[in-house]
Amino acid sequence: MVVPIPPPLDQLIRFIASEPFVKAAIFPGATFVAVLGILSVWYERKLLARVMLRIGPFHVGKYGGWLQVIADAVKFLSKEYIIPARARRKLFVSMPMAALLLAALLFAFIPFSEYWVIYRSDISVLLVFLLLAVSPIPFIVAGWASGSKYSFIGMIRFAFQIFAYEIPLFLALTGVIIAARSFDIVDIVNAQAAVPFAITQFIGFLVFFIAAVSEAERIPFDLPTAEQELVEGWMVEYGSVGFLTIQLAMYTKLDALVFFTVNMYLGGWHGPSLPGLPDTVAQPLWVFVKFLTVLTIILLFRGVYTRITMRRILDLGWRVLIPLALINLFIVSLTVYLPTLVG
Amino acid sequence: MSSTDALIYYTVLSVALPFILLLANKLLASGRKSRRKRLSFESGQVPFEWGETSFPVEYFPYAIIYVAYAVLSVAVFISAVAIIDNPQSAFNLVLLLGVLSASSVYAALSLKELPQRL
Repeated sequence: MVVPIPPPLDQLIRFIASEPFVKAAIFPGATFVAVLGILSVWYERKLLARVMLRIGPFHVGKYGGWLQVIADAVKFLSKEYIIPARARRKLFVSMPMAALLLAALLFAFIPFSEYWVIYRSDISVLLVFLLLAVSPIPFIVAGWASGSKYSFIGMIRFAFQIFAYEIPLFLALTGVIIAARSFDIVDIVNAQAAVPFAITQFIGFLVFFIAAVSEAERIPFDLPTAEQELVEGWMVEYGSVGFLTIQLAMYTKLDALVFFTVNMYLGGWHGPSLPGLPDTVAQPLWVFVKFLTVLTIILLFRGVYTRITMRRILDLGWRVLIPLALINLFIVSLTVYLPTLVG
Repeated sequence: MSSTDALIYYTVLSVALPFILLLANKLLASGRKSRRKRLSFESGQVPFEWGETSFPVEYFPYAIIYVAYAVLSVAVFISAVAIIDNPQSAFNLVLLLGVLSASSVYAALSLKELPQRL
């Protein structure tokens, strides 16, 4: 005898199994973003431990101490959230939340295949760039709202770093848009079916990659938050859930930037066909392989490079990357214009 | 429509996540309020007022140059968009980018090092 499902429960099951909800809540949505953020922290700790001839997380969790990150998160959540007396209370509490929201929203427009994308837009590149341009603002405001001199100095450093690297990032992206003749990331990835833009626009790729590492505040560009020398810079006053939210936001943004790099320059889901695997599985798999490669390179910087001085960071941004980005754009526009003369 | 629905659900979940973390902190954390805990970090020293301190902010002019460069890059971007529709009319943009590239390379080489104060 079949027991009928009550209509409200039936509707709920249909809603949870619906395509929009699966994409938003599971993959490539909220669950995926949260798990990826946590795994990135674990992966970084294990990788850096190998570089430094240590074991890294080991005791918590059966496989390579993978539950250590969860244990750390619970530890942060169970600590008292202290708001300094001089802080601007509302801004101090709300800015880490805004940072996490903006970082998570980046994933709404980043495709993992033609099918696996939360929201496909004709102007998805512009939307991602808009979010990237706005995402440093909560960090800057948080540094100011802490009401501490150390946070303020860290915030000033962060702002100048962002000023120096945002323009090269934007100019490098313009080159990709011209070459693909589209603002849709899916179209841009499909334009790289034969040759990825990392080869045809190598200078642009280099500029974008360096600017993206700086945008994510990774070594050697983590001077605003240098934990040993500058006591975490602009986030020195944050502890407990505030610090946890900021860390999650920063790792989510890093992951989003790496996926964005894979899509814009490394051909996204295009790769040799994998026998026996349908495209809906093989395409995201290629994206992950490329993601893991780029992420490993970025994380390894922390193990092998020292952080550079503020003067050199700004020098690289203003004096090297901007001219290189303009040269790349000039070459790209020539490659588009010259064939029209022949035709 | 399903794509828009997915975006709405995802935005709602993204907004909810930080609030869930904050709620979990409220439930799990315990602590006694103390004036000393709420002092700002000052490397172990007694915090002093902002009015008693001053420090130079180096590279400040670059914040102003940033605005100029941002306007320039937006202008280049808008011009570049024209190429997408009509590649034949790209000559002016190629010329503009050529001049910009040459001048920025010249400026970078002649500066040798980024001055802290302009």
